[in-house]
Amino acid sequence: MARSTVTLSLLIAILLAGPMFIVVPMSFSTAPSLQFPPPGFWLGYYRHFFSDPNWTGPVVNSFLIGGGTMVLAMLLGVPASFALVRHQFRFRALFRLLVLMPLIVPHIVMALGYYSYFGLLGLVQSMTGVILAHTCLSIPVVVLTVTSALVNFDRRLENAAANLGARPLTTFRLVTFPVLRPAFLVAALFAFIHSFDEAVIAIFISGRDSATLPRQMFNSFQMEADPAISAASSLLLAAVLAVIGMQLAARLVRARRPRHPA
Amino acid sequence: MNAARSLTLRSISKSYVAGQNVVDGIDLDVQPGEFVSFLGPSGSGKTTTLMMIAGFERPTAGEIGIAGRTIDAVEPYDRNIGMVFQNYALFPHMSAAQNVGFPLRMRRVPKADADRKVAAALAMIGLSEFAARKPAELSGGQQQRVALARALVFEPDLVLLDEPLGALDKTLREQMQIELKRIHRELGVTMIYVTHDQTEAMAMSDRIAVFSQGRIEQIGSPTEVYFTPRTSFVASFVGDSNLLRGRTLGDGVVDVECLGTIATGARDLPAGRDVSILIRPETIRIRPAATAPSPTGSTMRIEEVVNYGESYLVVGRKAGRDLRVRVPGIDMPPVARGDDCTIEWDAARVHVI
Repeated sequence: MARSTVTLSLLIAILLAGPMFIVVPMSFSTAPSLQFPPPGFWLGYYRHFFSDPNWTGPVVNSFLIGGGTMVLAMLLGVPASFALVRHQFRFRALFRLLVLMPLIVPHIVMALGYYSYFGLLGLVQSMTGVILAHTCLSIPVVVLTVTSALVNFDRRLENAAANLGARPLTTFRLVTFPVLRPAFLVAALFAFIHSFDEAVIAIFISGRDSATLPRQMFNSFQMEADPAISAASSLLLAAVLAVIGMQLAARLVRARRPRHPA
Repeated sequence: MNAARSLTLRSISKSYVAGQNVVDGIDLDVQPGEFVSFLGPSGSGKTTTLMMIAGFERPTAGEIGIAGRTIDAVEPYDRNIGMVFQNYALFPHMSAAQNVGFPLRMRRVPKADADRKVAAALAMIGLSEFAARKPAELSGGQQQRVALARALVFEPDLVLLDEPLGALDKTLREQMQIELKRIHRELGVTMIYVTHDQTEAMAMSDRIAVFSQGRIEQIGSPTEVYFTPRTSFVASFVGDSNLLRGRTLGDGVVDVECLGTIATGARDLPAGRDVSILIRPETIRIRPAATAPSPTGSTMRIEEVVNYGESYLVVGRKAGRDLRVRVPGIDMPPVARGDDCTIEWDAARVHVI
């Protein structure tokens, strides 16, 4: 590879990863405000973060909302994926477009819509409202992941199971689900992350009691520039990386398994 | 091992679009313990017919019966038919033993009993040491055997095989053909074998059903289908052929387009009928130097000589038509491209369609 290409890719990598290398060191800083490079090493902001209910509350909320979103998005997205891949019906293309729409529509526009719509339903400032909105955002992620796995799923496996005496439900339980499990897992994790690090809609419709971590960070940043925000950022980053890392690790373990084709 | 069952198809038809029959009135009686091949080009309806027997497709019309009982209303999972799929369709998350044990598990066979049967089935296909391997850790040939064991272990009434050897290389395929024959002989189970490979059908079947455009063109023993095909389609699809047009002159003599008047075995055909003449390439003998034509011989100019090792293919030309001659390697006379030569055959080997 040409030297210039290497240089260019290094530059891009630094640009992309740069924020991580600034935020994480700052969270261990002794400085009273956000300051880079950090003058000294200190764990105080983490202690502060975990002892302040203004931070721990939103962390719990984020996990609850992320979990709820994950469950709802899977419950709705998986059947939708099966319908899209396996059945011919009128307006299928339109249905697919509708399902994937939240990927295209700017979050701020959706947020405004939810704000006024949920206002009518009395769902603004409630956890239910945030979960519902995040579910809408996460369904396309679930549908994209599951449909691509389903398209590649060999239906002859289901035929084989039926042929060997398995009824439809048994076939799903023993064959379809286990074979698609990795895709379901990825879909669920991404649905969770999608909600966990979403800020715009959370700012609009999560109230004081249901504030998510990103919303709290935004508030904190606006009002006081509490350096604990860098600890929050680092933890948010760590959580997302952990989820993705888990997935990679699982894949590595699977690839490591010995194969001996004779 | 188990009592073999018969299979009957009564005017089976299948159409996806009204008026276009993919399968068009199939009638078939398979005897208990028989090995019948469905042979035909792709799109001839053989696989669709197989899928209807398995229950994955519903016939538009007609009736399917096993051992005299109609199974049209029976769901696939209640049909007790074993099937080997084209790509094997092994469950990727289960070991070889779990795959083979699956049909027993579905039938709630007690564990000890099931374990014994799985072990016996794996032993039968020579894969006992591979019981714990996942399909991805097995070679194509081994996967094929596991699929076969899985289709046999529950003593099905009928075993369907959908081009099961298609993905294997030639040596392995021939080896598996012999093994399949052995298994069929040992178990005595009724088998339906779908293939587009005529040598495979010839090698393995008790009877071959030749499919074309949704119909069975001919059904008969390999010898019948090969030497006395009923239509030109069967003649040209099964094996290499010289298929020529001609007109009968009575008493078995036919005026053939490029060979002139020749003698055939069909002595009872009336004169003045348009027919096709089949002379299999390997029934023709070849001699160097052209002599005068006879009722069981002719001459041709050699256009191409192909050496296959065990045999030669000589392609000659006579009055604008290609003639193919297959000569065993040890009988090959010293002829070369561009030579004129004499060809001869037995009148009884000339088949009139």
